[in-house]
Amino acid sequence: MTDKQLETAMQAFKPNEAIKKRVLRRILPTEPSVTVLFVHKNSREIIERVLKKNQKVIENTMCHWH
Amino acid sequence: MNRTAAFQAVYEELFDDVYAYFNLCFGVAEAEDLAQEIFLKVWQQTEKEEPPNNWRAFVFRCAVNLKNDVLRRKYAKANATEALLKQTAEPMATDDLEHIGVQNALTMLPLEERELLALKSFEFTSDEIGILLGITPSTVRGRLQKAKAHFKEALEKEEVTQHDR
Repeated sequence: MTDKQLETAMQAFKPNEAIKKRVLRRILPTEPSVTVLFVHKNSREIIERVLKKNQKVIENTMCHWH
Repeated sequence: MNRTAAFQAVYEELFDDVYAYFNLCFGVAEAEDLAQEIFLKVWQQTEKEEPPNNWRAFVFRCAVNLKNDVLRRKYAKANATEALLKQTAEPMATDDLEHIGVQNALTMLPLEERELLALKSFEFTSDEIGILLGITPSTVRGRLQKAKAHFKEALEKEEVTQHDR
């Protein structure tokens, strides 16, 4: 009796499809993509700190605001 | 079978159980990241010429090690054993009263017992659980018996509480 109930209870701790797909998307490599951010020149270090292993800052162009 | 297909086969077979294991140990907030960490390791393993023969054993060995690391980090950080042992798991929402009772009963158990019951429900034998947790099969059987008894007690309490509502 408790074995069956345990099995039933365990189902509730399993992920839904959205979680499963989200994690899979994060793990499997995707096509390279570029995100353009306009940030202050001092922000590069902050951005690099939060990048994942497969991400890097590839250019640090100076922009002048007019 | 190419690398991605090999990985997806393992992911399909084991992700639900690994996520449920971490959810039971640490709750839903940490389960996703921890499960992701495990499957990143699986992805790295699929690159090797000789991937593990038994993915299930490999994945759960990594999961148990990661759980131990997380516990050590938490102990070191907070030094709050009591709070840690009371850390609750978080089941998905359900309207079914009987299911709620069963889930509540499970979340009332201490972490060590939740872990044992989870591994048992994933159909690991006592010998396999012993290897994973670094204890003898007879100790596993003894602890499982206690965990099941506590689960039953918690279930009975839940039934009484629900009856009173």
